Amino acid sequence: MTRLRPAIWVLVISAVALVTAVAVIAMAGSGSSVASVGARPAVSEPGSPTSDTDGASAPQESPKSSDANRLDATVLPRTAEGQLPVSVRIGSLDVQAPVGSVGLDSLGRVDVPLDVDQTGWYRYSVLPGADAGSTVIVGHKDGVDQGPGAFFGLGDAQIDDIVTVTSANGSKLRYRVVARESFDKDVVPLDELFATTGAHRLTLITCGGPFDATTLGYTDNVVVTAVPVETDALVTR
Amino acid sequence: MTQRNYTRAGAIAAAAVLPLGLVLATTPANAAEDATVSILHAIPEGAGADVVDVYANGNLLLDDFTPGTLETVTVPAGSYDLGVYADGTTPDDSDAVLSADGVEVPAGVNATVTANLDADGAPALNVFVNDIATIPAGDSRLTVRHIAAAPAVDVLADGAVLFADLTNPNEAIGEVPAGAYEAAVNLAGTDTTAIGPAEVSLAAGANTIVYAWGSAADENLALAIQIIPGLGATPDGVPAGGGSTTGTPVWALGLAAVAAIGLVGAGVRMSAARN
Repeated sequence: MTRLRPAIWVLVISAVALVTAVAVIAMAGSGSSVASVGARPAVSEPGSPTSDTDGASAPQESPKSSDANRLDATVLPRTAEGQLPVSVRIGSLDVQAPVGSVGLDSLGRVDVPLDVDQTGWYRYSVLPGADAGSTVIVGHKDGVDQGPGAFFGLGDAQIDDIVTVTSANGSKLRYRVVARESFDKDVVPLDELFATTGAHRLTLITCGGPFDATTLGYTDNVVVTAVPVETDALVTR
Repeated sequence: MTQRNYTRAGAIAAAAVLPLGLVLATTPANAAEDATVSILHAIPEGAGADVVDVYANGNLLLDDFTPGTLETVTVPAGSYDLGVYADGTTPDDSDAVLSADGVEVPAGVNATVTANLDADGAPALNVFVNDIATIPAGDSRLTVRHIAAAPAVDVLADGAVLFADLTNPNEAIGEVPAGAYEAAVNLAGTDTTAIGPAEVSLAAGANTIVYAWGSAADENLALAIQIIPGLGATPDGVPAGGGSTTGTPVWALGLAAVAAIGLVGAGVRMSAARN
């Protein structure tokens, strides 16, 4: 039997290593757990009142009004420090993280906390428990030097998982997951995710999908949408 | 306080016939046939309009409307005859306390009709067009309207004059960073505070409209608020995975690189050996 020359050994070992590496990279990037499920609540058009009346009537008919649409204009809007979110928890996913307050970076993107153990409430979104609009909390999936991030498990969220947001005043608000979606970052529906109108909801955003080694980032955003748990639903859970 | 831009525009005073030159640059795409109209009752109590009914084209629009309240309705675009009637009276049996005929409401417009006092204390109707253009992310639009029986005023935010010499029935508009401000209204050019100071939180992406209303003579000057949310620009992205040590193990990337070098190297050696 002919003894294999060293060059052939190197060839064989290299080929095996390459196949292994490619397989691992493919598995890691497959994002099998982030296929979209569920549906987000609809968002109303910008500028429209959150409690508008039916305007589809014929011009001769007067729109109906109700006391529910009447506001006391003398109440001045105040900052509700106590309602600022301080932590978020998804028990079923082992997600438990502090929530800070974040704005925009120099590129106009959400300034996701550098510490991957931290999450950030986008301070220009609505407060948890608001009457309308999306409360947005962002967090890293992982960091190059820091390992798994606060929202590493978000891609595994399931419909009906419970998300608990604790506010500075100690109050806990419970939300129920209604949708988990994965979007290529080029087509993320940012207008809808960050809308300050429409039914109140909690929007959790992290990264997912394939890892792009050239940009050192993921190609997708994973978005989990949750709606407030009704008081009566709390009793049965 | 940073003031990004600042314009003043005269409101359109209502008269018996009220032609509204309403022109808006932007119109919500899916509201082609409708308009949004808010009505603010800003005639203080005791001025003869404590409880009123508002009629549009002879039909009851708002019942039992009281001072300091605001209601927003979506109406089909068109021409409206507006009438304010004392509670219990109707267009069929009485004259209006206030009226404005032929108010043109174009599709897509967002407007506010105020029932208020003019500078001399007489009841008046005013129609303002609300700015619903997109606001840069993180900013808030502040609109201040003088609809009080009072002389010219300065509007202060955190102690500094933001809008100077505002008179009834005019407005001033600016965009400021979202956040809480200490708002006050001074008699123009003086340190005499007419209203406030009071904390007003300006939400990002909203047009917060502050009305100065009431009567200086009756010492009931006050602020009223209307908020139009949902105007903010959205962020350009959410970079939430700056690097990966777990999604794609670094060792796998390294192994791939080493393997590739090995393959090339082996190929070169074998190729060289044959020759």
